[in-house]
Amino acid sequence: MTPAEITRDGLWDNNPALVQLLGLCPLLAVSNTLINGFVLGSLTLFVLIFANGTISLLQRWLDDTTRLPAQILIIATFVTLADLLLQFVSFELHQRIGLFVALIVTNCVILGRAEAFARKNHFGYALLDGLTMGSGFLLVIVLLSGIREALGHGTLFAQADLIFGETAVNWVIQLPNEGLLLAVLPPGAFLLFGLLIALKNWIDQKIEQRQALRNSSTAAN
Amino acid sequence: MTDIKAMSAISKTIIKMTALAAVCGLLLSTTYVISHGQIKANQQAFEIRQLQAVVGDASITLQPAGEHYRLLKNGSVYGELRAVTTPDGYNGDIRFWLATNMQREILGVRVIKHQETPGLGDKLDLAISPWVLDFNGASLTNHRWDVTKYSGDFDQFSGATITPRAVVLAIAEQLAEPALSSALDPEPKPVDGSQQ
Repeated sequence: MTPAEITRDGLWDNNPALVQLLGLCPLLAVSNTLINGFVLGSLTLFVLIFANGTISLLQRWLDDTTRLPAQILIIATFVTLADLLLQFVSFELHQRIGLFVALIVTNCVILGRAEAFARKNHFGYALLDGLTMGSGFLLVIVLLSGIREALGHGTLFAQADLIFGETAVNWVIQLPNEGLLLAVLPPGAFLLFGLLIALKNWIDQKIEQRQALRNSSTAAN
Repeated sequence: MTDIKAMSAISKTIIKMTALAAVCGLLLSTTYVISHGQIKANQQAFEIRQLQAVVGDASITLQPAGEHYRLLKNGSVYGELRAVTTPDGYNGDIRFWLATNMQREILGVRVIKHQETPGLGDKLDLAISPWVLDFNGASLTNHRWDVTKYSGDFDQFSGATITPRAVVLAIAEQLAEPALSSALDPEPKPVDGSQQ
């Protein structure tokens, strides 16, 4: 695989959330406000890059018996680091989403990438794969939580100061709409996530149709 | 022969996993030692901020006195923040903070732990209903201390009387008691939220 293909795969073609449908528990549970979603997505990205890198470096050293437990151990280590990091930066945010930070260990995206990619590819490629897959997840969770906060609370960037400091208190954008409770509740998360998947498939279909059209017109020539 | 081979494979696995676990453990313990102080400070600041919200006045500082807190304003004793538990709820203990001034008037009430029925009794929780704010400013003399059903001044929740009544009666009982003796003898060294 070329770097361009890896990037395309992580962000779009094989997006961990929209196509592989992995990591849905945190994706749906934490995407209630933009800041919550952003922080969990970022921590997942952090863990994915470091876990992918480390597992790629150790690929020759690990054999079939040690591979899986070693991968889990490495992932758990980086998740614990991410957890400490969050407590260090914002204890209040940790109180709110801390449960889901620990659950990053069980996020199938991470073990999935370790097994399917990092353990049989060069270090640089593994890092790139972690970066793009993590970013793909981050983009989807940010998009979903932005939509849910806008519909459900009628705000955007609420409580950004928990992570970006005092200056961010004024970042809150008050939207004209009233809060729609459904968008904040779990069923709303499922519905909106379904719509996002549908949107992605619709765009893919449009691209395919256009390509088919172009192909047939060149064939006619 | 195969036994020796199998044995060496097992010991190899053990060595590898132990080495990896040791490296991971070292990495984590180093990070823990470095970040521990700041995290502890963050946690205390967070708890103080939560309690400050119960008191509802940023100029009041909190000073620990056992499991309760003494409230100080401009260096003198202003009131107390008392941890209260009542067993009279519908399901298990209800724990709450009760902040009062020296005249035994309520500054704020926050329920911090309960297992009341979701959708009925859980309106104790400020995140669910503003009910606890009804206590602000109340004292034994200016309110009748029961729920409306028993001709008191405090709302019960539709479908749940036991839960709010437990809280109302527990607060009345606390107000009837004198101020905590520990609140009356202040020591210097106030604790506030600005220590980080």
